[in-house]
Amino acid sequence: MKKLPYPAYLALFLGILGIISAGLLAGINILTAPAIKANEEKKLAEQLKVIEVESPKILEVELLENVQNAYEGLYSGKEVYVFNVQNKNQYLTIQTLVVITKEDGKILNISVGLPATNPPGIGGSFEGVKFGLIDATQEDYDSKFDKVTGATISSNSVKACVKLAFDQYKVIKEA
Amino acid sequence: MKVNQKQNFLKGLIKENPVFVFVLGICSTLAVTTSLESGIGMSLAVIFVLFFSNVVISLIKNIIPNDIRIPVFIIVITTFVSVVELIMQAYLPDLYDQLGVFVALIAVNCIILGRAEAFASKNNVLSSAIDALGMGLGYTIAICLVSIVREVLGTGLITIWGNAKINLMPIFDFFHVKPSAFFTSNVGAFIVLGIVIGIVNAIVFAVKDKKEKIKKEVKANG
Amino acid sequence: MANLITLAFGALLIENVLLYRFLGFCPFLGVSKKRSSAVGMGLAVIVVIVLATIVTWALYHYVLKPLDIVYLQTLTFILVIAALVQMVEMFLKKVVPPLYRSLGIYLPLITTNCAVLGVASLVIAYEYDFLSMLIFSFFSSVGFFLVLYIFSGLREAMEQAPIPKPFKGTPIALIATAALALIFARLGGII
Repeated sequence: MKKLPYPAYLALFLGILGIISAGLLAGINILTAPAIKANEEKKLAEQLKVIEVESPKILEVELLENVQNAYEGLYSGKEVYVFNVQNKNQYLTIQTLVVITKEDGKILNISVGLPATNPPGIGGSFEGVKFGLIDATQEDYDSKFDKVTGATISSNSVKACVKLAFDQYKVIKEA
Repeated sequence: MKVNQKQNFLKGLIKENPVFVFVLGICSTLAVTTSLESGIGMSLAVIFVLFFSNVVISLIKNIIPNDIRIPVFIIVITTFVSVVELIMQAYLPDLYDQLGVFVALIAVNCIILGRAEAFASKNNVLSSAIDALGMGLGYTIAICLVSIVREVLGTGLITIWGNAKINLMPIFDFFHVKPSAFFTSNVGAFIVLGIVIGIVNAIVFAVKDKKEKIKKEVKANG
Repeated sequence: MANLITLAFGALLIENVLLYRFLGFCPFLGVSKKRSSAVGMGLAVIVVIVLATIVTWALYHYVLKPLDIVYLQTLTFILVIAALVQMVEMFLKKVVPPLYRSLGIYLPLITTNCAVLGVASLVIAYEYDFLSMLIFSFFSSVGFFLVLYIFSGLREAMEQAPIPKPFKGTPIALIATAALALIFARLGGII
């Protein structure tokens, strides 16, 4: 075998070493990718939780723009509206964040937060509850989530919030 | 040439401690020692990279063309650093967030490149492996020492891992003093490390002087 | 615009790459003994950091991310930096030989300077756009130069001072750096 000129030999050595490294890393990457993705989603979900509890609320329903990107990231770029609905009744005040897709009016997420002062016995375990990825229309929601929390008043309050969010969605769509 | 493996291992702990004696890897020492937990995590990562890069470089030392040996070392070391990065991101994400960019910076940590150049490229695999473990452990001792000092003086707690903490506040209360966040700040880092190295030096010099004295006396007495 | 000015100030003084981020310490302790070598080293570092950050930024956004090989980031970045330092070395050798000679071993050591890889990685982690990246890398490296220069002046004076033997060299350098860090941290009040 004819000997290679020296610079070419150096380049070849480095090249082969580089390919071996890249291959090893590609392998490890494939092994660890699902775990990494899971961690990222967990982190994003936690950030959203903080946003929910802290969002400003004076209006009854408001369209949140600043968290829109965060939610769109969570749902692979689908365009959404994020509504923050406050529902005050004689028993409690709840904040509900409702995420509705712009296109087809599907509820993607409902998150509920309770302020610290609630009457005892109602919704204590309700705080910060997420109903998670729903992907349902309003009609589906009304039937499926009837007895969500075991406390009728609070789940009715949540349903009222969702309805209000939906009304607002229709208003925006028709505008 | 037979190498005394026990000495090979022990030298990295004190006599040739990479942080205190060779003064290498200072960047990471300053940044990572805000809590014992991150110190331990970083040390484990460094030991992993140091061990595998020493072994691999020792294995291929005879076929590395001399002119490109530094780039070759760098590629080998960085590969293992990237492996650690991926594993940490997947299974220890909180640690990865704490250490931040310093995990990637292990690749340019002078200790690892230094050992590759000074030892692994010139010794057999077994010696290189043991050298790596010794140096790695020396690094760990240095980092943990500084971490404990900074964390205790800074927050009164020692975080071993996650929620396992040792609360030393009772000692503080006993002396009626409070821990100060100064020590976990960047200014505190410099001061603590400077003082620790100074004290270690003082101890080493004192021990050396004593040994010389004893030697002289033995000589004088025949 | 105000954002960029804050970024510049931050990178230069308050979140100084040496005093706050702890990057670039090993060469700092070695080179800052004489003012002339500090100047040469500082300038070389500015050039390398800015160039390297531009190239690695582009590499990340146009190659690594689109091809989904982000895990090769550290490896490719380091190779880019090593190649760049080689080129700067060859350039200096031809064009400014005395500077090349005075820098000696410290020029190839810029490859392992935590500051270069550090700034390049931070720019990706902070998700800066092109202009922010330029400002951040330039002012960070100038911050490095600034501290290096100030410190070399201090060290020349410290050589004369009567310091106890265990503290000579690294320990006293670290403590002096602490004083500098304190001053720089207080500068945060300007903005």
